[in-house]
Amino acid sequence: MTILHARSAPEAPPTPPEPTFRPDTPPWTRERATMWAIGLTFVGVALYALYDIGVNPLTLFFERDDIGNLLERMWPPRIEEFGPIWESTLDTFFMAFVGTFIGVLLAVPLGFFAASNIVRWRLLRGVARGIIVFTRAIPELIFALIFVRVYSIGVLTGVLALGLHSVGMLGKLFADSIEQIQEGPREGVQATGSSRGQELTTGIAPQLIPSFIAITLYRLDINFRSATLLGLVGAGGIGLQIRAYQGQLRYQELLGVTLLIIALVVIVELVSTTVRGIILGHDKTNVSFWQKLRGGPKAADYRAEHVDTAAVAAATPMSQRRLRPPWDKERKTKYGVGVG
Amino acid sequence: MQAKIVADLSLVELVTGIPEIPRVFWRMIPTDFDWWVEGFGEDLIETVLMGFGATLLGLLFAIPTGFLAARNVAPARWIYGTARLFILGVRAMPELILAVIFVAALGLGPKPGVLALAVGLYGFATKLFADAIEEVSEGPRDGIRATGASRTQEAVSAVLPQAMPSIVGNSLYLLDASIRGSTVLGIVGGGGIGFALLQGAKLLKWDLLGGLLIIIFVIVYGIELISGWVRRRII
Amino acid sequence: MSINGTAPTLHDHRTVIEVSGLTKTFDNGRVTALDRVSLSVASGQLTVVIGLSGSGKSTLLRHLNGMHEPTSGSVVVLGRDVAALSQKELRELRRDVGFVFQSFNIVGRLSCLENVMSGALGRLRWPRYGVLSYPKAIRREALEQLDRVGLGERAFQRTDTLSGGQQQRVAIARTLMQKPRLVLADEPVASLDPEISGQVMDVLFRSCVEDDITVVCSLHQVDLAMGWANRLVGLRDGAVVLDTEVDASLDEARVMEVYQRLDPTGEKADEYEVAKPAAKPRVESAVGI
Repeated sequence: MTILHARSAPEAPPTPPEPTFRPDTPPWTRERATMWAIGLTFVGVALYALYDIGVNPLTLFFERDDIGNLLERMWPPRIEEFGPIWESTLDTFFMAFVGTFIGVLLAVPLGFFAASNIVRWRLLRGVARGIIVFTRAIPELIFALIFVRVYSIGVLTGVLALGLHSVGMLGKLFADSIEQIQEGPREGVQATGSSRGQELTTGIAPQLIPSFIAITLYRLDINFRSATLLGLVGAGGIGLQIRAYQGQLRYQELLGVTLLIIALVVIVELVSTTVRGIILGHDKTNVSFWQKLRGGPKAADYRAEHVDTAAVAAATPMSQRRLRPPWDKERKTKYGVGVG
Repeated sequence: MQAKIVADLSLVELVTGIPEIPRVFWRMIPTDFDWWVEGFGEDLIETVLMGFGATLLGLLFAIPTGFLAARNVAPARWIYGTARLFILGVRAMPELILAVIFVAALGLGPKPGVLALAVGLYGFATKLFADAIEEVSEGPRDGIRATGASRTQEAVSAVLPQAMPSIVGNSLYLLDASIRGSTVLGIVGGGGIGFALLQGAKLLKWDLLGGLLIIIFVIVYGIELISGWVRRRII
Repeated sequence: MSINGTAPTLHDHRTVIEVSGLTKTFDNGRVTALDRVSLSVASGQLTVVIGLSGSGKSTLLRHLNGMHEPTSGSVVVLGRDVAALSQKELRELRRDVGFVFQSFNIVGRLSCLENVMSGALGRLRWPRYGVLSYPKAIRREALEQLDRVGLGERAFQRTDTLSGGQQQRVAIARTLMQKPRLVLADEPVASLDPEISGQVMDVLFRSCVEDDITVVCSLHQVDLAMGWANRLVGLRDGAVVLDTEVDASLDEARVMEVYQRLDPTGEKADEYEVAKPAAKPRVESAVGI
């Protein structure tokens, strides 16, 4: 064997270029210049804004006296009458739920109409996108203002306001999600000669379920926060109460309600993150919550019993084969949460 | 209680109200373009400026905190844990309540509005940035570390460039959200167009409301177009 | 430290690396990666470490710049005991020790020039970002290094748009930028095509010889280093089985022995031989439960 002498002498080195003038900074393309222009404009406007309004990074520090004053007046927090306050809070959360639900109902078809890989007709897509952008640009509070005139004070106003505004973000995210699906499964279903509807349900929908659910939960989360404020303009819920307290300068009650809201929002957020994890099937390792708290699963935890399941399945006679997936914990949780 | 809520949401009421809606929207179309632009032009500009200012302020503090709240970059485990918890707390406070508090402390005007927006934005931005930083791949970091760079140098030269597309994209989105948020802060006394909108609704001046909304829409849409363009280039 | 680091003088004859009795185990002693390895590298030597996958080549190299800590034994590089260094001292050591990775480990989104300049981070005071934030002298120097590896015209191109071989050359230029006394290369061409591998190894060795840098390089394919290396070290199962100068009297058979695998039945299966048909099926059929 001659592997040790297989190569000939190393090639001559590439000669370095003659020392002429060479740029040591990147060339100024039009794109680069535009980016810099945009960036500087943004920063410039922002700096002017801060100067004009009189805020700077240290403002919080400078105003600490005023803020401290207020915090003194807010302490200790007080809740006036727990019953009605609690009811209002629950109203608020319920409003968020239903509002999101309506939003999803409207946004799903809208998202499909706005997706470039589903709809060829440009006009329809444009209109759909237009509706999405419109509802997203108008803050829910404004919708609430308008609907209060129509439906007067109450939860219905809030639900509609939240619902319509949510259509904006949900629609946009849904449409983006739809445009990112893989064409493969879809073409596969098309090749079997299915109708448009079947193509939708079998080829497209399954790919979208995880992300749609994640998007919905995300929006639900945001809506919980927004719902609290709609009351400020007359939709139902706790917002009304906050407005009243602000007007009456009752700061202690204000802090009380604020803390209540914060606590509930945090709980909702934790719950929704867990739910999201369950539904999307993350975390296949059987690592308990406490282990994670201590610092993550160790390598040994990833070892699983290796059973040749394919061979076992092939060997079982057809009459005894399962036709539906087993009801394991994951599946039960998924369905339970969905139905709930 | 359940029954009460369901009764509130009676379908009948909803359906009877529907014809009202187009009428309201119809009335919102402005006919007379001059007077409200003069009157509220200033407020509109203030709203937009508030959005920009709050974004810059929030981002300024969010970037360092983002590094601290990222599991793979934080100097110590407890720093990461505390930072994440702190951010959770900050994010739990709805902006309007923050605005109410700041107005109560500092009086009316755009100043408390900007502060409220900035704090809210800070919480959200930090989470987005920390998530982006956690997704960075380890290889380039090993490479930079092997040259003897310090921890900060490594963060700026290996982590930041990788997270940049995400950070810029998120920042533009946050600017957009900021401007939208600033439009409503006026309702509780923060500056900007919010107060005018509230008055318009209260006094049933629909065309005023409509006109302002159209302008807001145009501004927001413009920002969205620019940010879309920038986001595509940055990748 | 000044910007113009001075290269070590020729024929220093100082010991650059002194490894004695280095043992490294993982997983609470269940896996022994290195088994009482002892090695001494003099200044200016070009050493190539060979061995099968899993023989410990990577682990050994990573001990030399402090990325791993020995379970027992000592590793002394450039006169410093690596295991005993503080974070700050370790960083100082790494400025003098360049490391070339198998996966290049350059920052893809940055330009070639920026990647090369990051090699000088150890010498500079503040963290840098972007081409304009490095001093002009550094930028000029980085351009020269890029020229040396043949990539001068691509200075401002985004690094991840280059081919694998080109990216590795950028990484080499970054290492050279450090002006190190020692360069460690961990399978630098394992992810590259055979023809490109030769070019990259040439670039690496030639530059190091020009700058009088000591090199320790681990490789799969021995032939790539022939023509440059003057010392060969062979590892098998974490132990040194070969340590010889490369000259005319080098016995090829001894080198090939490093790659032989001894299996429990006592039959030697040479990695380079054609595989004999298996005598019995390797997996029991699962059917028949």
